[in-house]
Amino acid sequence: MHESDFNSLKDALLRGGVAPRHVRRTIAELRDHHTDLFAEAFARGCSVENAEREASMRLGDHDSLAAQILARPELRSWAHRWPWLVYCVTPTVVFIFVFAALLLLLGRSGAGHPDYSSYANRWGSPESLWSLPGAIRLFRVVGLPLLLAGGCCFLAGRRRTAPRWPIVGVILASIIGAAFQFDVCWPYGANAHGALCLRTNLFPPFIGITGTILHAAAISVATLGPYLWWRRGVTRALS
Amino acid sequence: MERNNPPFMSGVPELLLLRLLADDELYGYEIVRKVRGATGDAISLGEGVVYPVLHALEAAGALRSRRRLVNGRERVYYTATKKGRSRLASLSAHWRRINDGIHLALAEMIHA
Repeated sequence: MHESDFNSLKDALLRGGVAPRHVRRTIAELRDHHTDLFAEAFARGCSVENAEREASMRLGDHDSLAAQILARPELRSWAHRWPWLVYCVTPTVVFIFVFAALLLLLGRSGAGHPDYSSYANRWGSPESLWSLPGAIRLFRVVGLPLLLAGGCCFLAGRRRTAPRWPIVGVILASIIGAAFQFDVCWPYGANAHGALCLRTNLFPPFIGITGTILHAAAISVATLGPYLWWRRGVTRALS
Repeated sequence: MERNNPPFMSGVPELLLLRLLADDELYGYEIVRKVRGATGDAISLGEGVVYPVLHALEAAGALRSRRRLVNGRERVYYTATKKGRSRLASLSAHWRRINDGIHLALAEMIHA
């Protein structure tokens, strides 16, 4: 077996749903075994070509090795068994937790407190990007959706998952990331209190829905574009 | 190279590997050589096939592995766990029953 055969076997196993850690280890062990078989045949006096041929024959051909490994369901990854859980449920749950944590962080920093100037002195002017609320806003609007959508693509690429799952995951992560927002409402007037305002435009009357769609589309394109490009390159290299 | 009948061989690789690894710590290439030696070349596993069996047994808790650096090469050594030894005992009993049954059947067919 040549290096290209090992790479092709690795790809076939990943596409078949074998967990990446099993794939890495199996390929390393097969490569090592092949080296031992080659050394054994060479020490017996075989030529390099014959030793290579014998080693490959004894190790087994690409298709039979792939079939034997794929026949073991216990070696399959959880992402292959439950793709909807990985690409749909997990990003949603992570989003909810991070969103709640950011909201909590903003609340704990004292945002919305009547004393705006002392808050601005401590954490920076909330309207500026170089302040705690500004950084949180930027992370919520750009960072978090990109991380979730990019995470879907990374996992799918590493596991050679069928593209429909990362596409669904990215679109879902982009829509959730773009549609749920929070802001600090500062108090006006004496004795008034501010608030942390949570809003979404996923439901009627869909105020600002065009911006949300554009925002979600930008995140989807920014993550799915490089992923699909990379995937096409891998498929071409192996064919 | 002679190939064995895969359906009839079902369960045999597990049995042989557990038997070998019950009292030794070996890596893949050594395991295949020892299987050949121990069965007088009657059973020759497709050499690459041994790894999915090893990994599946490890995933089931019947084997444990550790990496060792030998002569500058990192090898994965396997050995049977307590769970693996008890699985070996039940597999061995199962195969002895099948073996006895086949012996009986063959003897009856010869005498009939």
